[in-house]
Formats: sequence, C-alpha cells, structure tokens
Amino acid sequence: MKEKKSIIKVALVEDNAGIRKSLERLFAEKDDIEMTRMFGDGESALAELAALAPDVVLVDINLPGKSGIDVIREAKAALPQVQFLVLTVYDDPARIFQALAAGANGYLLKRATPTELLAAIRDLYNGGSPMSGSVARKVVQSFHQMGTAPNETENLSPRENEILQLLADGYLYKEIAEKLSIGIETVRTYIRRIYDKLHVRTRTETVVKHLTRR
Amino acid sequence: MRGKASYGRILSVKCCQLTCLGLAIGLSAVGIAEKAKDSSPMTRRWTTLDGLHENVVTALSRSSDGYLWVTTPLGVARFDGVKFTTYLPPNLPEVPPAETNAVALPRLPGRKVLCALAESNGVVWVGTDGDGLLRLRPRLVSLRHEVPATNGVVRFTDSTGRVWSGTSADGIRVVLRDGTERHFGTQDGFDARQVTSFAETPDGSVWVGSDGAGLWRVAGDKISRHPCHDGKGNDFVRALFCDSEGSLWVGARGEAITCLQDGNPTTVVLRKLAGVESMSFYEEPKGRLWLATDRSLLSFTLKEFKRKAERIGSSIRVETLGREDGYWFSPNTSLQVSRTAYAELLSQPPPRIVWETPKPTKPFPPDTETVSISYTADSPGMADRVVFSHRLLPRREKWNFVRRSRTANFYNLPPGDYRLEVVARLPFGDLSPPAIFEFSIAPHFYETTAFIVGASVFLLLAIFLVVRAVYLRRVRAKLLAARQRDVLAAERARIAHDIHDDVGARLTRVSYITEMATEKDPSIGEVADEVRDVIRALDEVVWAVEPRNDTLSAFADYLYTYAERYLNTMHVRLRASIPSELPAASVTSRTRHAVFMCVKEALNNIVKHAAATTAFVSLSIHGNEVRVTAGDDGKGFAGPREGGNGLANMRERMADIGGTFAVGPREGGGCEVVLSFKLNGKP
Repeated sequence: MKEKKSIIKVALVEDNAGIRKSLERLFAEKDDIEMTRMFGDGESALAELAALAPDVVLVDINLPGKSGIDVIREAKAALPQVQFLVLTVYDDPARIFQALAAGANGYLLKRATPTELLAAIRDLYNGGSPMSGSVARKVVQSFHQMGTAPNETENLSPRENEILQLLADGYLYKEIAEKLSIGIETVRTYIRRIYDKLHVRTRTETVVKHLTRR
Repeated sequence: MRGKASYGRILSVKCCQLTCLGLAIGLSAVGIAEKAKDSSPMTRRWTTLDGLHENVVTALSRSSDGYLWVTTPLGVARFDGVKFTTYLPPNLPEVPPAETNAVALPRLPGRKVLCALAESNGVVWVGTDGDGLLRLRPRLVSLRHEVPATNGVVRFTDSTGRVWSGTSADGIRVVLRDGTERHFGTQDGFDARQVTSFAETPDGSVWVGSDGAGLWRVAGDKISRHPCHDGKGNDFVRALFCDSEGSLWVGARGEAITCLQDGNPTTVVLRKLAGVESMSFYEEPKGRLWLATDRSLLSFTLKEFKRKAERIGSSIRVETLGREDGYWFSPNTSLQVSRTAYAELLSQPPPRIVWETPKPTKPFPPDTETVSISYTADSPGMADRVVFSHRLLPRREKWNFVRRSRTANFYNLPPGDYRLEVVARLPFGDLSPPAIFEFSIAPHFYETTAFIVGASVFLLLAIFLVVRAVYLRRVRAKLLAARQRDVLAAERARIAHDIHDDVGARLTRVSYITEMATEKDPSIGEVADEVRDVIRALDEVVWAVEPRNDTLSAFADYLYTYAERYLNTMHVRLRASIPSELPAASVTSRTRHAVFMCVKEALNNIVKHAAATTAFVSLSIHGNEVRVTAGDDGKGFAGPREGGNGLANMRERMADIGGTFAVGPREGGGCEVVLSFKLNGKP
C-alpha cells in the first residue's frame, strides 16, 4: 500500500492530564503526526469530533462518565471513516474486544513504547488492522455464538475463518502469510474485512453483551 | 273323670260365679297337681317384689286398650304384662317389704282367691289374699282322652269301633264291637313290654308304638314289626299319628321324628327339641302339622319336613317353651294342642316396641362406660311372651337374639352415631318392624373433626413458619455473605482502579518521558526498560486483584495474552490450543495467580534454557479438572538446573492450591510442563 505523505491528524480522549501532556510532546516532535485536539472526557469529544474530522482518534477505555467504548460506538456511527485506536492500561482481551466490536480499529497498551505507539498510528492510518491472537479468540467466540447471519455477506468466508483461527492459535500475520502462501497485505485485508463484518454484526446483535459480560 | 273331680273341689273355694273360670282353674289345677314336685310351676305370680304395691288383689278387669287393671285395698295398678303402674292415693303408708322370696307358687286350693278374670284367649288371672296376682296358663291344652290310671294302660278306639288297649306286660287286647276279644302276645311274635301309642292308617292297619321295641303293625289278624326310622332314629316310640294324607308320623325319644309313607320311613332328628319326654301330634286342616312336647312346640308341613330330611332347608319352626310361657303339656300323650288357641296365637299382630328409655336430646358425653336402653313391647296380655332381637348399627349387622331381655347394654362405645334397632315377635308370630333408637356418643374435643383439622392446620402453619424462618435466616446469611463478598469485590476493584488510574498513569507518563529522553541520552534506556517492567508487574497485580477476572474464561484470556506478548517479544513462536468456549466456572484469585506464575516461569524457562523456536500453550478441561500445559520443541528436559529452584517453586505453588505439577518430555520432542487444578464452583 502506498505510504501517504500527508500529515496524520490525531485527536486524543484521555482523562489523565499527565499522559495528555506527554503524548502532546511526543507528537509535537513528529513531522507526520499532528495532535489536533485533546479531550478530558467522552462527552466533550463527541460534541466536537465531527467538526474536527481527525484521521485517527486515540481513546482511553477508562474515562470518567461515558466510557471509551461508548464514545467509540457513538463516534464511529457518525464518522465511519475515522480510525479509532484504543489505549488501555489493562491487557484485558474482553474489554479490548468490546471496544473493537464497538468500532475500534486497533488497540494499544499504554505501556507500549512511544515508538510502538507511533507505528501503530501510522499503520492504522495506512489501512492496517492489528489483531492479536487473544482478540482473535474472542472474535471466533463471538461469531460462533452469533451463529449464521441471514445476510450471507455478513458471515465469515471459509478463508476468513481459517485465517481467524490461525490467528487465535498463535500464528502471526507473517506466519499465516507463509502458511497460506499469500502476501502479508492480503492477510491484513482479510483481517480488516473480519473487523468490518464484526462491526456490522455486533451493531445489531446483543450477543456481544453476553459475550463480554462478566 | 278326674277333671270333674278337681272342678268340684275348686268350686268349694269361694272364688267365682263363672263356670268357665272355674273350669279353667280346674284345668290348671290338674297341671299343678301333676307338676307339683317342680320348684317352679307353670303359672306365674306377681307380688310386691315385682312392683305390685300390695299382695292382696281384690278386683281385676281388662280395659279396651289391653291393660289389666288390678285393684288392691290400697289402690289400683295398671299392668301391661311386664310391669305395674300404680295409682295410689296420697299419704299412703309405707308398703311393708315382701316377707320371703318364695318362688314356689301355692297350690291354688290352699290359698284364698278373692277374684278372677278369664279372658277370651284363655288367660286366667287370679287375685289372691296375700299371694298377689296370679296368672294361670292360657287354655292351650284340652283333654281328649281320659287320663289312664297308674296301671299304664293305653287305650285306642279305631274306625271300626274296636277298642285297643296296651299294657305293660300282657300284650295288646282288642275288644270288638260284639264283645269278643283278641289278644296279641308273645305267641303272635309280639314281645314289646310297654305299649305307648296307637294309630290307624286308611288301609285299616292299626299301628302300635312301643317303648323300646319299636313299631308294630296289625293287619287283619297278624301283627308284625315294622321299621320306625331310617337309621337315624330309635325304637322308643312316644307318639303315633296318621295325618289326612295317610302318612304315619312317629315321634320317638331323642328328638327323632319319622314319617312313614307307604311304609318307607324318613327321619329327622331335631337337636333343638331337647329333652323330649312326651309328644303329641296335631294336624291343621290345611296339612300343617304340630308336634307338642313337654318342652317344645314344632310346626311344619310335610314338604318342609322332607326338605329338612334332605338337608335342603330348615323350615321347621321350633319354639322352645318354658313354663313361664304359660304352656304346659301333659307328660303323657293324652293331651293335645288346642287348635283354636294356636290359631289365636298365630293371628296376634306383631308386638309394638315401646322405648322406656327416653330418647336422648343430646349426645352422651365422651367416655360413657355403659349405654343402657330399655324397651318393652306393647302386646296386651302377652307381653311376657314376647321375644326380642336387637342390633346396634353400625357396629354389628347381625341381629342379636336376646329372648326376653328388655334392656340393651353397650359398654365403652367409641364416639360416633349409633342406631339401635329392636324387633320383637310372639311365639310363631311375625317379626315386628324394627323400632329405631338413635343416639350418639360425643367425641372428646381432641377427636372432633374441627379439632383435628384445626390442629393439622396449626401444625402445618407451625412447620411452615419454622421452615420459613430457617429459610429466611439462611437467605439472610447468604445475602450477608454475598454482601460481604460484594464489599470485598468492590474493595478489590477500587484498589485495582486506584493502582491503574493513579500509579499506572504516572508510570506510563514516566515511560513516555524516559523513552523520549533515551533518544537524546541512550543511558536512560535502562530506566525506560525498568519502568516498562514495573508497569507490567503492576498490570499483573491489578489483574490478580480485579474481581472481574475470577472466571476461567478471563484466566484463559489472560494466560494467552501474556504468552502471546511475551513470546512475541522474545521471538519465539506461539502455538496455542485454548478452547474458545469454556465453562462458566470461577477460579479464585489465589488459584489463577499461582497457575499464572507457574506458566510464566515455564515460558521463561523455555525462552532461556530450551533453545526452542516454538512454544506450545494449551488449556483443556477434563471433567472437573483444568489442565494447562506449556511445552517447547527445544532440546528436551535435562533435569533441574544447578542452583535453580523454578521447578520446586512451581510444584509448591500448585500444591498450595491443591493442584498437581508434572514436567517431562513432550510428545513430538522437547519438554512439557503439565499443571492441573480442580474447578470448585460456579462464578
């Protein structure tokens, strides 16, 4: 995929002022990433995001008031083109899955290095779609529980199923590409499609709530 | 004639003007004279012992309603046959008690008779001076033949006018009309010692009954012995009778009755007949036969007799008659039942039962020991001959024949509703319709339905309340426990959030700062790495504390996520096998921490010591057991390292939570750690 040279417009929804400050400083040093706006809570972010039209929004899951997951769900419905990246302290697949089902396109632990963070933002902007094995397990689980959709296009294709299962069994993207003799970009495309189908399915299904209920 | 002699004698007693009465008394006197040696004569006497207020009876009369009115110098008494109701003037001096309890009736001629009353049914009442009221027997007997003298000669006149007489020693003497005599004796083969009876059958045969030598038949000029029973009877013939059909009836000692039809005997032995000393037959115009003995009276037809003989039925009616019944039969066969008297007896309507015990208006109290109900029969003139049967429903369906008892006693009846039924009849009479006396015994209060129902309800209610109380207490205890758990969980969650929100955020910031500084000063890189490690360790603590993670599913997620991240960092491939669907079971914080630490240690060993390219992590469920494995494709297990205590730690951690630890070669090469622990409950 062609690398875009344009500046990635990033918005941040994070209640911790210290982290906001750190990230602002981090992005300020980068040429291709611009921190357009930072929000301390979900409500103010929802009010202004539409006008802001950022490329990528970083959202902390744990927010005072409206949770990050709710923010993503509402914002994604209004701004389907915007990519949402979940930031979380917890390495909690259930929550991460909830966020992804709500419309997030990727996630990152807060303890990730700045390098990883920047890479993730760029990747996301360029159409990447990270999915870990543990999240893939959740996705397999959710599709299994939702059963067959009446609309055939919303069901996973055999190939998508295969890739998802391999991912859940611990295979990395490149390992899947090797095993299936396809390009890694193709794997990414499949993953992206899986995400899309997940979003479509979970928008109407209540199964996600069951699935992620503790 | 002896009867006439007695008559004259009694007339000399200044008793009456009525000839019939005199006759009756005379007849009675015969009986009395004959049975005088018995202590209880056939008549009955009522004195002050029986409720009569005075033993001097001066006048007697019968009112139209059936009562006998007894006049004494003191007053008047009404007599219903059983008891007296006295009507006395006030201020009567006390009646002196009866002097003796004498049972023997006086000989009539020896007592002063003040008055008498003869009734159409033959009953004769006599008022005496000092002996109370006497009832002389009904006129049930009549003389038919002259009573033979003590020489024991039995006489018989046959249809041709021949006069037969039997003696005890001299055989049979027959005097023909023309005065010539014929004698049957031993020279004719007749060897009976005592002739007891004669009879003549339509064929002209004269039959002779003997005491011990059976039955003899005289046909023409010949006498021959003839069987008088069919094997069941005996040869002690007491009475002979030829009925209108020509059948010869033989009454023998020992309750045997034999009927000879065309010479063929049929015998019936009636045990009920008890003590037959004398017998006489009588036939009603319609063929019903009567047999009177000194103790009993039988009534039957030939048909009934046959049925009895064939043991088909028992239609022979036997009435055992005591002297108190007023019947009396002569000890020899010269007396016979009076046909009219029995016809009168048979035509009597059944007695009507009268309750003497007032009908209770309320139930008898519980634990009433004796319920005594008295009754009598309203049968004027014959009340003392009435016999009763009663039954108490629902206790006994069967009728209880109580003869003359006029009181029904019941002891210790359980509570309930009862119905006493009494029927009565006269000798040979029809049964009266049952008279009904209903009463009930009240139950104890604890036996009443209301009490039982009430007590049951109360008991059930009590059980319900106790169960409810126990249940509520348990529920409350559970609620309390749950609340405590919730409080604990909330506390754990709060701690987790505090660590995350405060410490976690600050460290994250430190991480960013040091990371950025590392670009300018690489020596700070170590600090950045250390900070990341601290964040990771913190993350593990938060995960362990967070109560939301107390499920097997969360544990599996976490295990996988850790393995994935760690192995990815260390460039070791992961091949995971964890079911996407796991049972909803809880795994305590302690257990998941212990197992997680073991897996962490195992993965650490794989990365550091196995020289492996791939790590295999699996989680599987075997019934109640969870098995977690961490293996590799490295050089294989070579025993514990020198100085290393990782394996011992793992074993100890697993033992702490009641699980097991095993290490060994992995199938397909390399080494494998197997950790097992039990699931102990639902989340």
